[in-house]
Formats: sequence, C-alpha cells, structure tokens
Amino acid sequence: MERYHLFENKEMTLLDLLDGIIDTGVVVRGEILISIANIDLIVVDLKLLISSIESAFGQRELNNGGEVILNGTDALRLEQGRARIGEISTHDH
Amino acid sequence: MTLAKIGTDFLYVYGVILTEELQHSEIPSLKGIDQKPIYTKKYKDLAAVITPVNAPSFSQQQIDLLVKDAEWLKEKAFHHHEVIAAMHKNTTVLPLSFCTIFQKETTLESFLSEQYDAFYQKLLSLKSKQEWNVKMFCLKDKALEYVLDHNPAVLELKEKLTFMPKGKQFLMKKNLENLIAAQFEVEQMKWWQATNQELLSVVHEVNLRKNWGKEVTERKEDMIMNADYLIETSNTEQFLNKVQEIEKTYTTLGCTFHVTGPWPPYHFSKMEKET
Repeated sequence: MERYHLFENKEMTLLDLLDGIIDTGVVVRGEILISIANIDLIVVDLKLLISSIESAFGQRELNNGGEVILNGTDALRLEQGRARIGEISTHDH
Repeated sequence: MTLAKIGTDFLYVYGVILTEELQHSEIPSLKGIDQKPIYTKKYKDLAAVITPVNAPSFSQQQIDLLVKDAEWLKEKAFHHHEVIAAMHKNTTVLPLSFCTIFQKETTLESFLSEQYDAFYQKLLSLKSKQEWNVKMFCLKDKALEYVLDHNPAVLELKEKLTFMPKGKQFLMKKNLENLIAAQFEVEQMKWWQATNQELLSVVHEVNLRKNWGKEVTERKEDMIMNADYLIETSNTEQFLNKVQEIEKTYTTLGCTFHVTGPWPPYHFSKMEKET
C-alpha cells in the first residue's frame, strides 16, 4: 500500500486537493457573496494547469523542513516544467 | 471584532465549526489568504472561521481571473486547505468551498442564521470523523494474465476452440478476443466493488469519484477505483490495516493501492444552498 503524506506525491495530491476544495464542501450560490462555483472543473483541465507550474513549489517544500518527495519521477517531470499552458474552462450556470 | 475594524474589506470564510469545541482549541495562528488575521465570527453554537480580504483584490471579477493563474490557484488552494486541516486536527469542521467570500459581516450573519439547523446537524454528524481517499490501480498485463488463466468463460471458450477444426478456430479467435476484453472489464469491476464492499464494514460513508485517466496520473497502471471514505477517527488503524489486508489479495492480480489522508471531510460536507 502506498500511503502518502499530502506533500509527498505533490502532483497527485494537489489534484486531490483541488478536486476536494473546489465546488465541494458547502457550496453557496447567491448574490450576497462571491464564489468560484461557476467554474466547470474537470480533472484533465486541472492536470494541464498543474503541468504548467514550475519548480518554485518544490523549493518551498524542501525549505519547509525537508519533506522528502517519494515519487521522484513525478517531481522531476514537474520540475522540468513542460510548459504546457493549462486552461480552466469557465461557463455561466 | 467590530465592523469598523474590518473597514471595507470582504470576508473570506474557510469553514464553520462548533462554538463549544472552540473553547477547547485554538484558531490556527496562520495568516489569512490576504495576509490578515484569522478569527471567528460566532453565531449561537456555530462559529465561522474567517479572514478579511481586500475588496478590489477579491471581487468576483478578480477571482474569475485569478483562478486561471496556476501559481495563484496552487498557492491559495494549499493555504485554504492548510487552515482547514489545522482546524480539523482538534475540531469538527464543515469546510466551505474554496473562495467563498462575503461582502459584509451582516450578510455572513444572516447566512449563518438561515442555515443554522442544517449546519449544526451536519457538524454533529461529522464529529470525530475524517476522510481518507483510496485509489486502486491495476496493471493491465498482469490482470489480463489472470483473466486468461482463471476466468471461467474465457477458459471454456479456449477449451472449445481446441476441439474445433482449424478454419473455425480462426473465425472463433475474434470471438475469444472480444470475450477476453469483456471479461477483463467484468473482473476489474468485481475487484473494486469487492474492495469497496469490504471497506464499507469499517467506514461510515463512501463517496465514489471518477477514475483519473493515465494522462492525469502518469502511471503505467489504470485507475480502477477512486473512493473517499468517511471514517471514525478511532477506526483509522483498523481502516488502514483493512486496506493492507485487501491489497494482499489483489497483488497477484496486478493491483496496488494509493491511500491519502486524513483529509478534512471535503467530500462529505456538500450542501447546495440557494441564498
């Protein structure tokens, strides 16, 4: 069983995180407040988005008390920064 | 905290907690999403965990732009989670969706008042519980090998084939291929359903999510299950042992498990509310 701390396999857990916190939890819609609930979030879009992120995040992680990145392959690939530009599709409900 | 102190700032809300639990724990000493303090706004037995944000920087228009900026989204999404996770360590949290922002303290108040019963009941149901995510991966070649050697329907057709004349064997080969492909799907579905069924004995609730494709996971295996489980915190070890135990059964079939947690109950807090 592969058991991950949130920051170990960061690419996958970031996806999980975004999958979790956006448009989940309590979603409130109405004119009295602001939200991003009008985003149609698809995991593939997220993936593209994250792929465009460069290594700054990895640096911060290491500085933050040496969290070890277990899944080196993913981290390395991420740091090589395949500069794909991600897009989140938006539409109005 | 008075309105005057907030000025014209908007209010970013991370989540809602129970006031009674607040007395026994502290609000995380982290800075808010806009570098301002995090504090609570109490309403009867509920407390919203909030931070002021600069109104122009967090307007709807601005948020719509910012979420398309990967760097901003990543940083702020982690921050949002960090605050909720810190609260979740010692208290029951009802997380609000990322970037839920109120324009005035009075609107937040009326929101808490309107949703009071629903929030309170939901919080009670989430007490002493955590969310864990289990992803089941399967290596195609190994799983296929198993189907070829053990699936009754496939074995039967393979045996029939050996007694057929050469010409017919050739024609039937396509049928066999189709049967293998179909049974492969059937077997995999049986595997994840059995896994989920077994885990249900130690969990409170389950939320099945869409499986991610290889273009997302970048793994050589296929994801065949992506499930969130809400479990009693005291059952964590039992739950993890159960996953390990199940994995032993499926290793020979080419399956591995990827477990993350504990998460705040993101997938078990969903409430659609029109305001």
